[in-house]
Amino acid sequence: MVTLVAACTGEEPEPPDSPSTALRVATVHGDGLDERARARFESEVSDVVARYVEAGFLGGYPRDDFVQGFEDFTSGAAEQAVGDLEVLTAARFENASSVRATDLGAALSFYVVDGEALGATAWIDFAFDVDDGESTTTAALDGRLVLERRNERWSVFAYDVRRDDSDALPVEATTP
Amino acid sequence: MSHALRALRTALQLLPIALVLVVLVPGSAVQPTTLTLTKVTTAEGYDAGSDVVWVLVLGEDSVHDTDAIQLLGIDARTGAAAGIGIPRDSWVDLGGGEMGKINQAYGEDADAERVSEVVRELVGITADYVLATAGDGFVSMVDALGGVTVVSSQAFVTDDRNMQVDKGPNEFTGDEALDFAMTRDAFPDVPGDFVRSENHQALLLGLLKQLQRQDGDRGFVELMALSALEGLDTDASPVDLYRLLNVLTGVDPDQVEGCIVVGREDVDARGNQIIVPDDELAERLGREAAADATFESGCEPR
Repeated sequence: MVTLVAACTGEEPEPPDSPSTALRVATVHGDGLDERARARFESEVSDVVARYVEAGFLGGYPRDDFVQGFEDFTSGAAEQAVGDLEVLTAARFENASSVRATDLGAALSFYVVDGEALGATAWIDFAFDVDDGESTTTAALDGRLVLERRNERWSVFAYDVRRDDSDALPVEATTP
Repeated sequence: MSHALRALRTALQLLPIALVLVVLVPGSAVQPTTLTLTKVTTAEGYDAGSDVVWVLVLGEDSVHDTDAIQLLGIDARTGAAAGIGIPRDSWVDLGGGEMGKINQAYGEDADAERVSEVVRELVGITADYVLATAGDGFVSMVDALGGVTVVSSQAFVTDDRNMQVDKGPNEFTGDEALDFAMTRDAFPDVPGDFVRSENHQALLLGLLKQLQRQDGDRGFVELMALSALEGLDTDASPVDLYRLLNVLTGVDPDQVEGCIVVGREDVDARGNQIIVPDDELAERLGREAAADATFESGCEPR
C-alpha cells in the first residue's frame, strides 16, 4: 500500500519545511503538454516513484522483501535490478530498527508526442535516516529512473543511480 | 544472503581501506582516531526488450539508394555493442531470385521488411527495428546533438566539399559529417565501399559518445528522441524509439566492435562495379554476435 504523499509543485523542487516522507515532484521539461495533461502525467509518474520508495526503502523493519520495490519495473529491468538490490533499495539495512525518508525529490522530463507523454526521466534525489537502535546514520540515492508509458501504464525500463552511504558505514581506525 | 555472510563480506571489502587508513594516520597511541569511510556505489540497468536488440541503420541518398547499411546489436545486460557493416555494392538476392545491389532493397517504397529480409539472408539476424535517414534528417540530428567528433582511420579529402579530414579526431557539423559519410572516391587503393562502411561505423561511434556526453543533462534524451522521431523513417514506435535511445546511453564505448562484410570485387552484366560478399564471413559475424553482441573470432575472413 502506498503511504507516501506525492506533492507536485510544477516548478523546481522546493526544500521541505521539515523532515517528512512527502515526495516532492516537479516537471522541469514538459513541452507539448497542456496544464491538465501535465498534472495528470506528473501524478501518474509520482505514484510509480512513490511506490518504489515505499517498497524499496520504507515500511516496517526488520524486513527482507525489498524486491517489491521493482513491482513497476519492466521484467528485463527488474531482473537486472535484483542484481543491484543493495544499491537500489535499503536491503543492506535489513536489520535496522527503522528507515525514514528525510528528503525525497524528483524532477521530471517528459517525452511528449502529439500532446501525450510516452516516456519520462525521473531525476531523483533521496535521503534517508537509518536507525539501528543505537544510533542514526544517513543514506542517499540520486540519479535517474527512466519510464515508458504503454497501454496507459507507466513502467521503469532503465535506471542509472548513485548511492552514498558514507554516514551509514562508520569505521574506527585506532592508531597504534 | 544471510546477515552474517553479508557482514563478513562488507568487513572484508573494507579491510584494505581500514588498513591503509591505520598506516597513513600518524600519531601516538594516546587518542584513538575515528574516521568515516566514503561508501559510494553506482548501478545502471537497461531493458532493451530482448537480450540483444538489433537495429538496421540505413542512410539514403537522393534517389533512395541506401549507401549506408549498418546492422547494430546492443546487449543491454553487458553494455556491449556490435556493428556489422554491409557495403552498398554487395551483390545479393533481393527476393525471388532477383539479384542486385543491396542498396536497392529499401527503395522509393521504403520497404523496411524487404531490406530486413535481405540482411537476414546474408548474416542470419533479423533486425528488431529499421531506422532510415536521408540527408536533411541526418544533418538535423547531428546538429541537435551539437556536432560530432569522429576518429578517422586515415587522412583524406572528401568528395563533395573537398574538406580535409585528418587521421584521428575530427570535429564535424551535421553537413560535414554527411560529407565524411558519403565520400568513397578518395580511397583508390582499396574498394571504396569497405573504407566508407568503416567510416560509417566511426561516425556512429562518435554519435554514441556525443549522446553519452550529454545524457546527464535534464531533458536532453527527451529532446533527442523527438529529433530522431522527426529525422528518421522507422518501423519503431515512438515509445520503442525512446527506449532504444535510452538503451544507447548505457552502451560502453570500450565494448563497441565493428566488422565489415568484405568480399570480392566484380562487375555485373552491365559492367557496374559490385562486391560479391564473403558469405561465410557474413554468416560467422552474425552467428557470433547474435548471442552477446561480440565477435569472438574477430573481423577477418578465414
